[in-house]
Amino acid sequence: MDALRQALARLRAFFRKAPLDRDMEAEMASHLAFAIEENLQRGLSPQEAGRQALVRFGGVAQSKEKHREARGLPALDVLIQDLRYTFRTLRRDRGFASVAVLILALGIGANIAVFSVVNTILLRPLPFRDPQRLVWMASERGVGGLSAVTYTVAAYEEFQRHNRSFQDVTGYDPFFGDSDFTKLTGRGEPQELSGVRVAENFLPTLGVQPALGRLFTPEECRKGGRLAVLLGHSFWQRQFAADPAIVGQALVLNNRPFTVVGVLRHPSISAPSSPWSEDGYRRPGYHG
Amino acid sequence: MPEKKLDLLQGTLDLMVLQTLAAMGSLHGYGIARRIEQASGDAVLLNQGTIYASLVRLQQRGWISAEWGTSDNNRKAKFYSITKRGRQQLAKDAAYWQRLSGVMGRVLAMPGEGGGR
Repeated sequence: MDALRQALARLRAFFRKAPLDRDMEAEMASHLAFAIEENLQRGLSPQEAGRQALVRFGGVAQSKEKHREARGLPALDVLIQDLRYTFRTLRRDRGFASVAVLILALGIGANIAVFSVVNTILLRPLPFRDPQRLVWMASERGVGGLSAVTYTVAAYEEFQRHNRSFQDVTGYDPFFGDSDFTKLTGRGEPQELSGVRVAENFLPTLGVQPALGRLFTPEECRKGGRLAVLLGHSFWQRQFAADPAIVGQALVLNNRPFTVVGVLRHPSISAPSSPWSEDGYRRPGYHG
Repeated sequence: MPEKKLDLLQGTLDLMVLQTLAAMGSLHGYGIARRIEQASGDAVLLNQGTIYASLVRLQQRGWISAEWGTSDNNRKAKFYSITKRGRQQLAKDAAYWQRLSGVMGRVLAMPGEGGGR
């Protein structure tokens, strides 16, 4: 309680230096006047009376300093003094100051750049359920970048059959970027869309839920089954003005009719504006 | 050669000031300093100026209050007096010091080979 009261008093004193200093000086002057008066009464000469009063007082400057230390926030005072000195020095030596500022700017900039990359790639979790339990399987066949680390459908099915370590094994068609699979016609201007063909358990494994409609049924995932597509959320908003009635309608993609079975939640899994689609695994054509 | 004056232990000055104000009523800084010197038989090395740091500290804790006034010989001075909370604190601190000095006295009175009196 007393400590809190004292802290508050110190803080108040920190902002009222000038009046408190005046008060202190008046008080110390009156102290010396009392002392001189007493010395004179003891029969000392005026000169000696003044000298002895000062000796007994013991250093006016030190006493003032001690008074200020007990009264205010000496650490903060020192800090402000140091800052003032720093800025004075920097102003005097502008060349050095600008180089220092430049180096700091470069350092901070480089840090931010590296951090934003690391944050995106390493730190931020994947936007799926239990992202720490997801594993991406890739073979080590070396040359050719990502195109060389795919598996055949047969290998994928082997993985599924012999899987014991994972809750589930799923897959997607990795060659979706340049495929002409998703040319949309019959809805205004024809346009190229990006989509990806996924296995039946792909979206459930990642814990993805549709915002509208449903995910794919087993029937839609069999070879030669009914063609079905799920739309990305922002594509749905842009192209169909977020019309929920789109579910159940047909879209013509590459001259084949697909039924829209649902719309994915926002944010979408990968590239926004990609209609997710599935027409079952086409067994050949899974090689690069 | 006269005996060297005692250095004040940390915290003792605050207690002396409190006790002086409790005993003498309202006093200015010079008066407090002179009282302490007299009461100690001039055995204490007191730079009178240091008393003002102590007075600020006690005032900030709310144990003493201060007011400008006029002395007997018509000089302006700041007068200090002890507050109720100051008296409580004084009782606590005085009891502590008496216990401590009692213990120190008993320990130092232990008879021994060297250094004993």
